[in-house]
Amino acid sequence: MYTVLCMNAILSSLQNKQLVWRAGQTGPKSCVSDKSHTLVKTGYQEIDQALNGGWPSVGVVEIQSALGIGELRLVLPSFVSQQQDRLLVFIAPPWRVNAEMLHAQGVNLSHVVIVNPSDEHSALWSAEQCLKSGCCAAVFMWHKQLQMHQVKRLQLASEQGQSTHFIFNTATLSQGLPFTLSLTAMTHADGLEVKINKRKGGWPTEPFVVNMRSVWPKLVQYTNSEQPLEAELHRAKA
Amino acid sequence: MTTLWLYLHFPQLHLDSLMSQSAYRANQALLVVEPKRSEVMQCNEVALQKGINKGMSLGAAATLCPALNLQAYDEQIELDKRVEIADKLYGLTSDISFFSHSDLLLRVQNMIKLYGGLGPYWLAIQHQLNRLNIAYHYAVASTPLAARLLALEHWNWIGEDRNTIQTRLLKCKLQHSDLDKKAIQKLNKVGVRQVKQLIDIPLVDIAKRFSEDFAQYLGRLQGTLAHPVNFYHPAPNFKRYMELLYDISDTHVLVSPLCRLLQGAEQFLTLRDKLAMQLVVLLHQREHEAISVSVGSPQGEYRMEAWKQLIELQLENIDLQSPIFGLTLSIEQVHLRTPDTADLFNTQRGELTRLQLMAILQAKLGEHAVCHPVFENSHLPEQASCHLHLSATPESDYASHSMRPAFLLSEPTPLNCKVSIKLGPERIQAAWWQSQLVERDYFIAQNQQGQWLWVYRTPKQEWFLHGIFS
Repeated sequence: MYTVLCMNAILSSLQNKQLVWRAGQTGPKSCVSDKSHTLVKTGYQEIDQALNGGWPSVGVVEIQSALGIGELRLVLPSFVSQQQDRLLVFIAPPWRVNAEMLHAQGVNLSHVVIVNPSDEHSALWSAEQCLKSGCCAAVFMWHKQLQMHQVKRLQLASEQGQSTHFIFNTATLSQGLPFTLSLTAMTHADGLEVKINKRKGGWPTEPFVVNMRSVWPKLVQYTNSEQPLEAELHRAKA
Repeated sequence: MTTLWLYLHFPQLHLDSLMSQSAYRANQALLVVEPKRSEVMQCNEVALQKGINKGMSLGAAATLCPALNLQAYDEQIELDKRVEIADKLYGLTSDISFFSHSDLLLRVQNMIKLYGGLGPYWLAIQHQLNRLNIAYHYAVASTPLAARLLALEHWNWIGEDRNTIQTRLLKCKLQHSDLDKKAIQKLNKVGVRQVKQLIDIPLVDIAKRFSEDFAQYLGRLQGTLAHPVNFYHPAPNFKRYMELLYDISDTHVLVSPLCRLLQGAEQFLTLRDKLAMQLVVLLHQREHEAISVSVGSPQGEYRMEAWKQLIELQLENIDLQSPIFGLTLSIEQVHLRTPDTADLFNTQRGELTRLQLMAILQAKLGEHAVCHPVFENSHLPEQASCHLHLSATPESDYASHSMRPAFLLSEPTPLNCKVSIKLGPERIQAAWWQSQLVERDYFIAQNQQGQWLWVYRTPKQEWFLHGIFS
């Protein structure tokens, strides 16, 4: 009994000196108590639970999904409240970002920057610059194929500037890349079905459903009782 | 208070400005040659050791040393270099005047009190001159012309003792004076070689035999006639040209000579406590028109490092048609610096501000690749949301609809997949006051892949896809 107590005392003293590394500790040693450990509430109970609190506020997060199924809705609201004076950057969005939607979400539009780079290389370059500048809360990038060293560079940049990088990826071949967090989102009647593929300081999970019914009541499948007229539409003659 | 003038004579400004470039190799003989008579005007240490002297013909110089680096003499370069020197000295002394084509005259007597004596004053001036790495000769005297004559004699002496100055002045040779060459020859023939001998001749006799200019020179030399002097005021704008030692055809190599110009710009801005909003670099091409590279920083910047980074990004995108032989740097927009009021306790770690980041992105990707979204007061969705160039300040405070897609297609496209309608219709009828009436019934629909689409139907029952929820 005594030895156990003694061990605990030694362990906690070592831990206080930051000499012990724990698997759950994601940031570098020096900033254990710093921002790298703070989490950003997602606004969805299911994800908060699965991620032990929310999105990491530093790091590179990959979201694998088809475009337009609700993947932006999953991340955008949580960063709008966290934005403060910092920028939200959209790099290489697949279509034109709609200012009206951002405005309706309460985003300060003068703090939003949209970057349309000419090629993939300059997209990655802009992402790195934005991340490490320290004036961006989150950087959203649409990108297909990433390589190991590119992800590592983005990780370092996001640590330097204390910002989060979200990469929306339609391909599903990014196994083994050093993301802070990697999710797969699939469409579901109640919102989205999310599976955590990989996570720093945590385990992958089985697919679970994120219920968007309360936040986005109009963008979920209606239950049978309240279903309005459903029309099958075919292409009209132009 | 009696007047005291300090004269600085720069014998080889063109050569010095070449030697100050980083590409200069000290082990090679470098000559500045008068192009018409092909005569050596200025030569560096290595050339002197080889036996090359000023005034030597180019052919003789080439036989003494076959490996010569030649530059044609250009007066403009000396004038520019002199302005640069005057700019540096202006921080130390108030009254600077340009004299001859490459020399400077400083009025000393009103600075002595500030520095507490001539010694400390000269020390400060000398320190600045030595940092510039230029050859110079100097002298003080009570009139500008006397100081000039002594400096041209390479007296290199500083002191307030009037008697010493006077005795030395009297010993000066007439050939160093600015008198007419023929007049000097005439005087030499009758045995008048020094200033003293000339002064001993009564002024009336001189006026009889020589021109009016001659008498005026003597009067000004002795201080009996007034010598008006125009003083220099630094230019309000920064513009500097640099001639490269050799032609450069690689834009990466251009950065290091550019840094020298940027250093000058940084000093210019620091002294005035100002920030530059825009720099323009002109790359003078040997056989083509000069390329103008303009770099902007919306926040304003004075540090060389920051500008260097921005210019490097721009240079990457430039294709040179022919090699570059010179660079011009000018500062376009300047405003007074107002210190940032950053929170001391804010733990944010980045080193850039928002505007600095924008400047970097724009420099690399082009001005039109970076924009802000703007929400306009319009009924038409495609007009309500537009992207504006960064310089515009978005002002949007209108009511927005909550159910709008995250993305809009740049042009509505005909709907050509099977969808099921989830919500709608929402009718938008606008622009009836203009020529083209727009009438659309919008629906939120989902296709079979689960994508949430924003589609509309026209009165002609045509279906279009306009946006995507995400």
